[in-house]
Amino acid sequence: MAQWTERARGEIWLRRLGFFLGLLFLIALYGWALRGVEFDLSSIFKYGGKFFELLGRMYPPDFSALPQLVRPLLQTLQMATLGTFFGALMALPLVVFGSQLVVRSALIYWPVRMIMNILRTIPDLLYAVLFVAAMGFGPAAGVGALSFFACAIIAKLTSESADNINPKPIEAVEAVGAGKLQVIRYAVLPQLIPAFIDHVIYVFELNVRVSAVMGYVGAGGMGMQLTTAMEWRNYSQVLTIALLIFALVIVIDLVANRIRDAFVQGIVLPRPLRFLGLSVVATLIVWSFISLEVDFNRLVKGFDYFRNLVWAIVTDPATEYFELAVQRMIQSLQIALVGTTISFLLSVPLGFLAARRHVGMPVAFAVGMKQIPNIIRAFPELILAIFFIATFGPGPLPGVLAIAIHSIGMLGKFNAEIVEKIRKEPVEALQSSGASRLQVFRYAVLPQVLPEFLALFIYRFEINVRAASVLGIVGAGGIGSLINEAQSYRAWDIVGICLVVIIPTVMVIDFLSARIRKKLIEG
Amino acid sequence: MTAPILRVHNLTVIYPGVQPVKALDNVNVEIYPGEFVVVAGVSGSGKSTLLRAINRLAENDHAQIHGEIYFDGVNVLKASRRQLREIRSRIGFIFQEYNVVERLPVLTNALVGSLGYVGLVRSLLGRFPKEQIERAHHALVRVGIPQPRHGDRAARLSGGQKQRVGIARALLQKPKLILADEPVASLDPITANVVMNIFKKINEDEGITTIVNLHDPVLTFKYGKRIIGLKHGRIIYDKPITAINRETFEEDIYGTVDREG
Repeated sequence: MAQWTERARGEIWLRRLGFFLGLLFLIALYGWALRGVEFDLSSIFKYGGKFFELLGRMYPPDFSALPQLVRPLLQTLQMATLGTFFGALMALPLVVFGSQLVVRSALIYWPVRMIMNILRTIPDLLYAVLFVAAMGFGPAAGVGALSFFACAIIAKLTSESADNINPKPIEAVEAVGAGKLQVIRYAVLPQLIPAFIDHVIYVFELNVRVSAVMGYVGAGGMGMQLTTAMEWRNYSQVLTIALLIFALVIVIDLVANRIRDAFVQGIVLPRPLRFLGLSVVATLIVWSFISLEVDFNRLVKGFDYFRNLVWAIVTDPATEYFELAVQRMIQSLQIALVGTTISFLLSVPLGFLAARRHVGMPVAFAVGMKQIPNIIRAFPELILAIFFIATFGPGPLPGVLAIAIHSIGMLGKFNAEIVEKIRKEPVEALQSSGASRLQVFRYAVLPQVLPEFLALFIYRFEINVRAASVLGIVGAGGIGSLINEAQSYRAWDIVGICLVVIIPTVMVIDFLSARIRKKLIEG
Repeated sequence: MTAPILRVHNLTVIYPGVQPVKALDNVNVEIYPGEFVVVAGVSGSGKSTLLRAINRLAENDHAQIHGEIYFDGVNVLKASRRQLREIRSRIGFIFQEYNVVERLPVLTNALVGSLGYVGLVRSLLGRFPKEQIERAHHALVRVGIPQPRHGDRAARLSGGQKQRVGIARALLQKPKLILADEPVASLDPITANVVMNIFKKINEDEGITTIVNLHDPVLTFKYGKRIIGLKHGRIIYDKPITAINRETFEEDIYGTVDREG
């Protein structure tokens, strides 16, 4: 008995030591990151007022410019449509040849998966910058960038679905003596196609968001109007454009979510309705194609650019800029870390308030709170960053703030869902033993939600690393600022070095994040 | 006496790994046309491995299969991919979890059984011959799925109904042999009896040789005509039902709980 307590005491000390060291590490980490992003509360308070002053100057929105904005708005939608369409077409071969269900030889599916992973690491705006440089200003570059962005996500998500399909029906079809193609046709595709369509619609939503702002770097659509209005300091028009983008994103989200829900629930539409839906989609694609007047000569020119870019990376890399690129990349990581953390601290309480099942909260209140993240989510980071740059001047701080605010959208929504999923039994067990509300929270609620909160935090950090790598393109610090400078001098080799730094960094972060999240969730 | 339809000779199956598992150990058995055989044993005794070795599905689990298996005079273990598909198309296989494609209609799930008889292009386009569609409707009605439900997605069926679709799929193969691996283990007792009766009727009406794996002693004695008892991968019983003393059999196969307690 005495021996047992001895050992327990030793373990307790060890755990205390571990806790203490972990705390020290966190303090050091955040101290380092906060200095890296030039975080300074006093300047936030000092200049924060300017932000609202800026908003004040925007009001009231100038709706007289509305007729001129219809065309860019439609262009945004058309770019998103074509980008999704081409992206889906490009993703298909990647999915097929990257799947172990179809291809036996690792010599084929490993390289294909590698290409998929590399495409996936490049952030949305970076694609835009590259394609504008390659194909010149205008919607053609937007379509190109969106196609690659869409292809990367659709391919990745659909391959994950393919890895997770139920193998049992496959066995049944094999057991009747069917060949490989027949197995794919009758056991794989019926399971995979709904997932594929679901991912395509989801990516269309994403594409609309990206398409609305990517014009800021010259890729056509609404974003180009935003640049002009910002340059002329025509603030009331800036607000009009921001509101229009906001409205477009909300409408598309609502429609797309309806359709995706129907798919997930497996609702079968009658034939005429299905035909109608298909023809609407087909018309949308054809209309987009005709009115965007995509110039195919530019595609050829664009191809040249990418060949030169890759050539520059391989033969004549700007190694003298490597150190600078790494420094800026580290700053991007710091921006992502601080921004995600602030957002996390704000959205945990929001999650509890917006959770419908939380004890003692009126339902109407929770429903109201739930709208906050939805509204925030519809405001693109880039627009927030532009506003914050106008307030605080260029530098990493606007990037941090833009990420912190925008991420509340997703974190708040998912945190609320995590709280809603809590198992009631442990809560009741503690209540029945006479525990106080705080005790119930500490011993029954917190242990259930904490791992999932942390996993979500890490996942969002992974997304924000991409955002923080490109927000610099509009002046918000990190490696994006280097890309911006290099691009304006047409220094391909420096852009190349940035790619060489960004791609492996993002890959490593993705890999670590997936590992840690799996550990956290599975325990 | 007629030749056996299935002859298993010195069958040993090993699942490789850090600690390889010998699931079947030198099994010998002969099955004659028209027989209704129940393979009995507790879980882990090797029942599933035996059935899955016969049409080589066990290879999906990376099993190493040694010995000889003759189906209709052909050595299954020596067959090429093409021959294997031909063999499989004549063996109907029923799964514990039904293994229907939930997203496809009931009718298509049954038609999957006829893939061996339909040309590749036609089958890829989903254009099944009229004759096969007729047969599918007929088979489904026969196992108790009424015609109005044939257009429903399989996901909407209950467990018992899904297993009926599984049987209809096997019937479409025009099988010479039916292998059913724990076909009623996931069903309630009443539905289990209904499904077992379907197997019994198919065996009696058409004389299709049937091997069913069951872990439940009640069903084993109710439906089996010949019983093979497996324990730790070895056959310890192989007798017609009439020659078996039920009490000693249960003790040998399942062990008695009170003895261990």
